[in-house]
Amino acid sequence: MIINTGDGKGKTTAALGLMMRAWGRGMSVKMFQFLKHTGARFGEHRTAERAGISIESRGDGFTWLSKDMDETAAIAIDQWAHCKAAINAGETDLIVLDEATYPVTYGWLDADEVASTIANRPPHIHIVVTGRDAHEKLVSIADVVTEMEDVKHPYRDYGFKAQPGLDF
Amino acid sequence: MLVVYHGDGAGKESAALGVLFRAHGRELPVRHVRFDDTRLDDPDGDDLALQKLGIPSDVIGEPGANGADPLWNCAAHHMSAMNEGVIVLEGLLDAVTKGWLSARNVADTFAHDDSLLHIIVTGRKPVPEIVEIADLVSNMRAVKQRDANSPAIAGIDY
Repeated sequence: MIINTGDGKGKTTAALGLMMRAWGRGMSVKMFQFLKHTGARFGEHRTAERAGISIESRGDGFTWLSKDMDETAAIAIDQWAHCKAAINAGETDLIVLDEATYPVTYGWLDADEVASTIANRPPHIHIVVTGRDAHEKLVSIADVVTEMEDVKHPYRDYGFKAQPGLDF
Repeated sequence: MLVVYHGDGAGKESAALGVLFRAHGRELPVRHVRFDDTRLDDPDGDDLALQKLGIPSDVIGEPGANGADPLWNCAAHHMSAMNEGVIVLEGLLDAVTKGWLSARNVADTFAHDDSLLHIIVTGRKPVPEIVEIADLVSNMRAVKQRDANSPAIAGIDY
């Protein structure tokens, strides 16, 4: 189990790259995105579609834009049910839970349940979790944890805007 | 735009690959250049994925009798041929650290690029001349790593 956390850039992209690497080896891969809009058509979705890789996004956009937090939480709980089913099925070699740290941090998902589902997964499958401030219960069961440390960030330091194809 | 992913942790090359994956989806021009010829006969997961997606990739190895200039000229040529999109220079920082390439020469080439091209460089140690002119720098810090004795996993680590 791998966690990509920290304030710097590269958490989701590193997970995407890992999916690409595993896919290159002929492994089966799947990504579940929390928070990002259901039906999002970012660059990764477009390439994934062509490569036959499944990315399931369930969310209503980023949380600070949400008007109804109960609804946002309910979507995350539903998304976790899909993740859990895929993990327990054991049919996918690599499963990415993108931005999954947030619903745990916000208390929408039970940290113990998420950690135990991942810890007790079928032994041959790999899990990647991305997002800031990974919960200590997730960190404790992970094999690899990388903190993407923000050394220089253009959107913060220079006021640049996120660009399609590069940032999403 | 110059992006640097450095550090001892996992995720530098995979983050660079991930950006290529995104940009490729948006139909931007993309190219991958690797400064390491040790796995030429044994393509890894990254090489296989680039091939499957049809993303052009080059391997630049150890400098020969003519020094490293021809190597750098090759990479610089690819950059100047692209006005937009993404080029990944995997292991460039290590090539500089090993003394294959001059930090000043590389930084000058980057500083003179005024196109819309995103240049992503990776490697373990940050090179001050390159970090100084970079727009985005992330340090992949290893918080937890697998036991040094545990074997690398195909499709995950390489």
